[in-house]
Amino acid sequence: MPVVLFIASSEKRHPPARLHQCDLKCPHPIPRDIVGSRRYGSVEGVPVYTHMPRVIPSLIQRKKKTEKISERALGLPAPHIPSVSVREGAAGTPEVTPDPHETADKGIRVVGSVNSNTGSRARAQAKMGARPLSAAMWEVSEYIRGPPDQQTTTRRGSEVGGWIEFGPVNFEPDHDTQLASGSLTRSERVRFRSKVLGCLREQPLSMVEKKRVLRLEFGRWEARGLDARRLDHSASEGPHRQHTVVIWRLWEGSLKKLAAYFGSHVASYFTFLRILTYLNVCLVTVLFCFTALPQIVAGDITNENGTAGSFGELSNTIMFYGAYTDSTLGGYKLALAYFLTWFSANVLSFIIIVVSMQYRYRRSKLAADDIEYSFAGRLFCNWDYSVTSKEGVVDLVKAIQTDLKENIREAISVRQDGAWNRIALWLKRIVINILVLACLAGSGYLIYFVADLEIETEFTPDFLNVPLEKYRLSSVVAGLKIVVPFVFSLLVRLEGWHPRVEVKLTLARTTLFYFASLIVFVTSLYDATQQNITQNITESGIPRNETRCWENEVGEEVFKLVILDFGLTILVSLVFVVAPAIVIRLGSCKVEYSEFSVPTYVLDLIYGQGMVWLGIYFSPFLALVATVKLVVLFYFRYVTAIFANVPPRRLFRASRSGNFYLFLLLIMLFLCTFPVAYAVIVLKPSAVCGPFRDRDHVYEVFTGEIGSLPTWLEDVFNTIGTSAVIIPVMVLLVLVVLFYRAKAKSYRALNADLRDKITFERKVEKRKVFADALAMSRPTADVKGIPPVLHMKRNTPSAGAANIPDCVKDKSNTDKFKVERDGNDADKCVSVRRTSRASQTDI
Amino acid sequence: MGGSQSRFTEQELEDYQELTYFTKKEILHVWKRFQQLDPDALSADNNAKITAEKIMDLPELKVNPFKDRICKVFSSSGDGNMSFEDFLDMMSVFSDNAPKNVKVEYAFRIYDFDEDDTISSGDLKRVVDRLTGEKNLSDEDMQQLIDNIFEEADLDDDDSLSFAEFEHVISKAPDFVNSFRIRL
Repeated sequence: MPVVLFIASSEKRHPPARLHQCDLKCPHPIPRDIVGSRRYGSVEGVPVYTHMPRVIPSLIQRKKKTEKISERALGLPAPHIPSVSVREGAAGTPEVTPDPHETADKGIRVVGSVNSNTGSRARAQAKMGARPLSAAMWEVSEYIRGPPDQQTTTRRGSEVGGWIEFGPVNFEPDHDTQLASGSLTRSERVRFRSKVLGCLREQPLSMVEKKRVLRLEFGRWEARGLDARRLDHSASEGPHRQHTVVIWRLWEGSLKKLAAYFGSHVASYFTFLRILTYLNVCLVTVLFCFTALPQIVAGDITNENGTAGSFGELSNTIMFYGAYTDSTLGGYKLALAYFLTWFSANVLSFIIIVVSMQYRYRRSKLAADDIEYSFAGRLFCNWDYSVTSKEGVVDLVKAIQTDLKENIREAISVRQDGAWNRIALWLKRIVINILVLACLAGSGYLIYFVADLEIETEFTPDFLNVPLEKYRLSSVVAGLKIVVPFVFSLLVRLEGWHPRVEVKLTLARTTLFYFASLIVFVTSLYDATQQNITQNITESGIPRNETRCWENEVGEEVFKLVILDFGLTILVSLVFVVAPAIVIRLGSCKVEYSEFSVPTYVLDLIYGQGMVWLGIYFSPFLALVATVKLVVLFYFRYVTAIFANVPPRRLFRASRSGNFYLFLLLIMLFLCTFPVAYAVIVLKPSAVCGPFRDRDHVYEVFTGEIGSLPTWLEDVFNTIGTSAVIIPVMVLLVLVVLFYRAKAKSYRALNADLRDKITFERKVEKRKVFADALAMSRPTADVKGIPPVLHMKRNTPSAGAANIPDCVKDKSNTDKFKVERDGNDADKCVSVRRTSRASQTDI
Repeated sequence: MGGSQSRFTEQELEDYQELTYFTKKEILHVWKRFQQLDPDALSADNNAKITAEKIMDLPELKVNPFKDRICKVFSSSGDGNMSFEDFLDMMSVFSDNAPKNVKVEYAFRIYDFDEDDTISSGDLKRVVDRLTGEKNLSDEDMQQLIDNIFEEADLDDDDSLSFAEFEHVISKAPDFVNSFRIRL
């Protein structure tokens, strides 16, 4: 039977670095059935296998829990398993002693190795009695104690060598073990079992083998009438079965399904949608509890003074600003509450966004190392095994192909165009940029113009008058929102950018357009309100209940825009996404399924959320509408995606994009809060409606409260507002930002440095190991004339050269370093060919 | 599903449940799907093997460029033919609940075409070919790609990726677990 070998270091997280320290070799062909073994490399043409036991690290983590169990369960008497002890001699030379019990017919035998670094881990394992667990698992044993006579010294020696694993041997549970397991209490057995099973499930064994292990381990308990396997159904479910449905994981099932169809990039859109839904639910709760609810309790839910607006009677209810009053409800000042609630709703949004950004940032940092493995990662991880439709595969192949090609092209970076072509290209780009700017300006003007426009009613049919009048502004804004980004995406194709730049550019331009259109929209509203206010003043002869509040009008405009925008989004999806799909399903091949364009959809969401922030001051119920809208949108997008979309043709990195969306959202929040803040601070609230009807400025409701504060506090507030305080604070903040920027920069540099160092050391270390192995093995073979089964590499930081004489001497004149040899099969022991190949290639 | 339930004893089902990432119900579902592949062969014997061709007809595998490798890797006889237990094993590894390290192990075997326990440049070429469709990359591009991969991932400069190196690559790829799965 061939001899095997090896071992392991179990530091799973850094396998290569660790493995360098324990290279061993074996001159024999290694049976393929060695559980969990892996060829790690080769030395001089001889494969080196390593074994990376998965059981061990997890056991160390669970040390506390298992300690007692395994000691009592199986740890006490050592089963008769062929074993070998390895320890480090006093002089630091390795020493391998075959166990006396070992017999020639027991399959695989030798073994060994280890490096001094594993010593402490080995001790830990010995202490906690990890051995029996892995014995049960692998039918292997790792053995730390030496044969009985050496046991004490080995165990107490400062350098316990490490542990050893065998290939499959016939593990017969012996009597002692059975007794030991019998002595377990019920709960211990249950826990033990779930641990073992948890590990067993993770082993890459075939079902037949796993069943055999299962029988070995648990058969005997059942035989004793202790059916442990039924005791703990819940425990056996293990950590992987926790499908607890909490509110945070809303739509999780649908999300998973989507990710399965479209990949995680598309799913990131839906997670973003989910975050927005949570956000809006929070807003609704806050707004409703602190403004609407007291109002309802107070009994004022309509504004008797107001006239019907675009929404008829609804315009005068607490849906909108106008109906809120300035009454007090048992000390609860409604006006103050209205102001503070709006304020805290904004702060709340800010906090929610920042927190989820931070959370994601942290997560993405953990996995951020991917610059190192861009190609290998692409090759091995890009294939989505869950894609099962033929079209999906075709798309995916295409996507991977382009992706790879692009990257190869980038890597070669041989893109040399003629000078003339380049000039033409740049000219084209400049022209297109001008066109884009023109688009922006034109659409801005259009919005402004329409807001001012008095429609000539005689040219339009009568039935259109009312909707035209009501919805002209919002429909223009919503319509532009659909047309302009489409134009942008067409234009950008002419520019001949790299696809990735293309996506980013479109995204940036579209975002710019959204912001611009919102700003124009708000300014034109502002102008309208100014007119309204001046009208109110000039036409003060009109009876009071004929006047309308400008806040309500703004609220209504925004409200309309939200609803219209939503309707148009769905309409556009139906026309451009669902309709082609239906045509295709009916049998036509001329049209294509449209792809799920995540950036556009995300921008849609951000835009919608911006409207909400803009509007909640004027219409607190807008948040509720937005929530409903988002929920509907989720299911709409979900259904259309599954029915009518194909995955994006380009591959995106999902883990990256999430934060970018959140960042845009944050900008949107600021942009949308500014106009409202302006209204709150500068504009005069309307005199006939709303909670602030008796005041000149909204903020007076707040400063009025301050007036009743003690004078010193008032002084403080007054001083804070002066430039003497604000300017130094601003300067300080800028300085702090600069400081952290510099710090972050230096950390990044440090990171890069360290990464370089690690890569370098891995390579250098590896070469050292090969050099040592070669130097060690050559004299041994010559002197003894028999092949050494294995060589132990003791990893000394001070390089291998100093080690060699010791080892050579040690091996050639003593039999301390006992090598496994199989007398009968001497010819099987193929001697290691020390050709020059290794030295050429590896050193 | 009542009909197929009688094919297994409660004990067998429990074992399967212990050893895979499936619940009993899911196991029975897997069995149902397996049975549909070749009802005749399985009518008498639960442990009968189904040929690789028939396994590859499974809609979930049919379009997969690595389907023959998958069959081979999970087949206990090594020839691609699968018994139900092999099949169950396979679906378990590809299930949502299987942890990364299990998936990595099998992914390595799938990509290791010549089964020498390392992914050599030959293996890489075949992976690329299957991913991009035959001969869609020029030889230079292919060479460049392979060079780049070894440059990144081959830490010991032996011009092939060992399991440890492969695992290291995967550990840096957060999306792997999501993509390495098949739902029945």
